[in-house]
Amino acid sequence: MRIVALSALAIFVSLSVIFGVSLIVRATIFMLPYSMTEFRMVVEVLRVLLALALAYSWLRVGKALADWYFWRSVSFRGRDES
Amino acid sequence: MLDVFTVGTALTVSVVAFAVTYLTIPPLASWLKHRGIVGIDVHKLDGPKIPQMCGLSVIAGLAAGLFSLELVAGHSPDIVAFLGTVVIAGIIGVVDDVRPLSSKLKPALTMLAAVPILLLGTYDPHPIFPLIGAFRLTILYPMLILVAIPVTANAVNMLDVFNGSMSGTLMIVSLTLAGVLAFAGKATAMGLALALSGSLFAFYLFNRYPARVFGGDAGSLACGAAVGAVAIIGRVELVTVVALVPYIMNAFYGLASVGRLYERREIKPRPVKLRNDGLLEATAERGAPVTLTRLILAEGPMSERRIVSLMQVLTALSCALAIFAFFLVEA
Repeated sequence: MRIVALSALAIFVSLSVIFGVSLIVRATIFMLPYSMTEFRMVVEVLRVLLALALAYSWLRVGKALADWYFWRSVSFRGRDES
Repeated sequence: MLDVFTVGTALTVSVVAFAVTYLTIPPLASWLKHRGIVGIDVHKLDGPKIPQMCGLSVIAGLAAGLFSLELVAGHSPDIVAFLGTVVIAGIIGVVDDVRPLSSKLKPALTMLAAVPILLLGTYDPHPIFPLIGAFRLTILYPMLILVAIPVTANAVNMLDVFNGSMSGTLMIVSLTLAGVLAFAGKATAMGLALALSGSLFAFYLFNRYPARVFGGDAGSLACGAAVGAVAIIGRVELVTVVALVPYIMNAFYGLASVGRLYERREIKPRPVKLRNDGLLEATAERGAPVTLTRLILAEGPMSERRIVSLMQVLTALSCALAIFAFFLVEA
């Protein structure tokens, strides 16, 4: 059972990296197009900051899922032992 | 795709790296033991003392492999940058092994390992993403390299907690990167990845359960920096990130639980405890970081050997998805 749960978590994180990064890059390109070439430095900094903020958000989602799985399993285990 | 001669050359590099690592570990281990440079294997009931810092043999093996690559394939700044990165990360690891660095100073110092890549300009500031293609980051990319090398080095260091956990999983990652780079036709970067695989395989034979040697931070920081360098030099950044998902999960979940950068020795509530029957069990301490090990042990106790096997399965899974990401990028 634990291999299934952990694999599901790893697949979720991996797929969200693959497709999440594409979405993040598309979003940053859409919001901050390179046509603003006179502000290239500012655009690049904003793109990276936006990408980091979005990446951090989905890592937090993964963390919330991991926490839920961990504490749920620990509480079930405690109940089984008692 | 690469021709047979190039692949043969890269495989020879891997064999050289394997041989040098394999042959240097026993004398280095006995010298370290004689000098009292040992670590206690805390996950065994009898707590045996194991020679530490044998990761230096991995660096020696890599250096020998890369020297042979330079002889056969000719001079390449990629090889010099890669070796420079590995050696600097290894030196920082040695310093940390001898005199433990603070949780903030260690990542800051590992930024220095990115300097050879920046100085020699062995990067392309257009990372490629699936479904999009190249993304221009000409100004910021060099600064991101300064972050990427410490992130990979320290993430690998954080998973070096059990016998063979780092060497066994990183070997799978480096072999995956070698395969992907071979398919992309990047001969030098593939040679770098194969040299790393060869060294890690030799080290794994000594480091797997029950470990006869420990790599120390010298080994884990150097190997982590090496993977980061392969990603940048070979332009397989996203593929590497996906392959390293178990490492990222372990590092991020740990850091997010504690709320700051931390060293294992600084955390008082223990995430895992050793039971009298020799099995490891996740504690229910709220203040302890929720690491990958704790997630693996959430449903019940397990032996150290099985935990490492599970880590290898998870790494193999993320590497399969990394290959999928590579073909998505190529499409």
